[in-house]
Amino acid sequence: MTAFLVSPSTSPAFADRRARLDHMADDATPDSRADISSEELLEQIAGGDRTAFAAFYDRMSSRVFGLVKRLLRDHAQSEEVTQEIFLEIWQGASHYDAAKGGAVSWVLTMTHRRAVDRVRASQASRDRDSRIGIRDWEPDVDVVAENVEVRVENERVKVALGRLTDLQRQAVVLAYYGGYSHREVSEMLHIPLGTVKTRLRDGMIRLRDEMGVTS
Amino acid sequence: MTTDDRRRDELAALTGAWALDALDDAERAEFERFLADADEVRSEATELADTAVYLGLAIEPEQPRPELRASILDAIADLPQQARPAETAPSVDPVAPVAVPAVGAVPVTAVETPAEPTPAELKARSRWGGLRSTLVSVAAGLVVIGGVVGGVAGLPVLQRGQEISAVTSAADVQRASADVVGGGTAELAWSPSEKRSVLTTRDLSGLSADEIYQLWYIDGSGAATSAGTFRAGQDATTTPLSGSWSKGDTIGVTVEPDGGSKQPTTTPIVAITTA
Repeated sequence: MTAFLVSPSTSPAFADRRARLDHMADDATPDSRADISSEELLEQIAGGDRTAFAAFYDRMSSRVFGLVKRLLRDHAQSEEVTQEIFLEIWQGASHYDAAKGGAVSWVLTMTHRRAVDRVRASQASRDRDSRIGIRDWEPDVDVVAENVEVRVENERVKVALGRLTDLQRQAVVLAYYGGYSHREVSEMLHIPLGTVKTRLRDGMIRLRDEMGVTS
Repeated sequence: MTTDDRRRDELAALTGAWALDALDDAERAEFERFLADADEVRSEATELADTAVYLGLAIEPEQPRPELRASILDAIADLPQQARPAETAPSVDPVAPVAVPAVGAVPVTAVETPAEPTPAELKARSRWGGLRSTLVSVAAGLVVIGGVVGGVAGLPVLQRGQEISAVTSAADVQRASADVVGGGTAELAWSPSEKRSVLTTRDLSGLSADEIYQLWYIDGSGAATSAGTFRAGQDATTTPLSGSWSKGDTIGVTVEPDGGSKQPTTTPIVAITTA
């Protein structure tokens, strides 16, 4: 087992997929609209309901901020990006279609994308690359894991990641939690780009099957 | 096997990288166009994007400072929302630049003008395939609220106007100008305290539809980092650079294929060195 698979945590009971996602996103904070689903809140936000937006923020902000900060590390930049994401949610809630998926998926997909955009655009990426020493990095899984600082909190995801091959896991972890492009992953692990693409796809398919995700 | 078939096979292998946001902008755009008429690949891509959500949920949540909540709720108080997406729509413009006269005079009652997807993109939006396209629209929408008023270019949304004014009204703002190869001028304004910069162009000769201007930070070693893309022509156009300005950076502009490039592929048409 590799170094990033640490920190045992509670494993929520999973019923169906949607319930799982909702459960995993449940931060158990007091919520004035606790009886309203996040999907319904988004619908209300699209209609200009600021109270619904505040409730949605309270539900999602620690998830969004936690993920952004995992990629960016810098607290101030992470707050900036979190703010941008919530302004997008406010402005773009009308684009959300509950028939196509859950609110949590919508928000976290947007969150990851925005965090990656910032990583790529910002000075942070240059700093980060020099700090990690990308050019003379050996493909040592423990080093990779240590530098990416991934702590996977959820037992189920942790177990699923553990079923990947080392190379699949390294590639997926660097891409998702490190925000690295497949080209960067290829450089860092000293493996050809085509191989990285294959590892990312095979790794994600394996994860999908382990997690029981179907469309 | 034709070149087209081969490329489709290559694209079909990118589902994992796409779901993990590991493609660069140009590849992602190509992949998403490809998804529009590749049902099986789209289905796999959707599932892998859902799988990536689990990776996000496995990260320990962290509460931001309460000040952020106040700031965000304050920001939405007069921030217009986008209309619901239409079924059919004209093509997407890239990030719409800001017409200079509008800066500092942002109407809060602006008309909502989401950047709309092409039919192919709409099709690609079947479920999460759509999310990434939608994000582009949402991001563009952030910029172009205000929309087209009597043929005048879009007015800036609050945030973009704020980004620009944060630089231009900073106490330590500095400016430098240069001529642009092919005609026109460019003026860079930067603020060391804000670590941001904005570029104003005038009288540019304009580009064909499949080209775009791309901004770059060029450091002392000559390494270029993208700072976003923009369109501009005769009118004065101000674009905030994405990313952070660092002391000594040279800001360059190149002409790139629409969608932008990972690294400059042409010689800069203007370069301005900052102190």
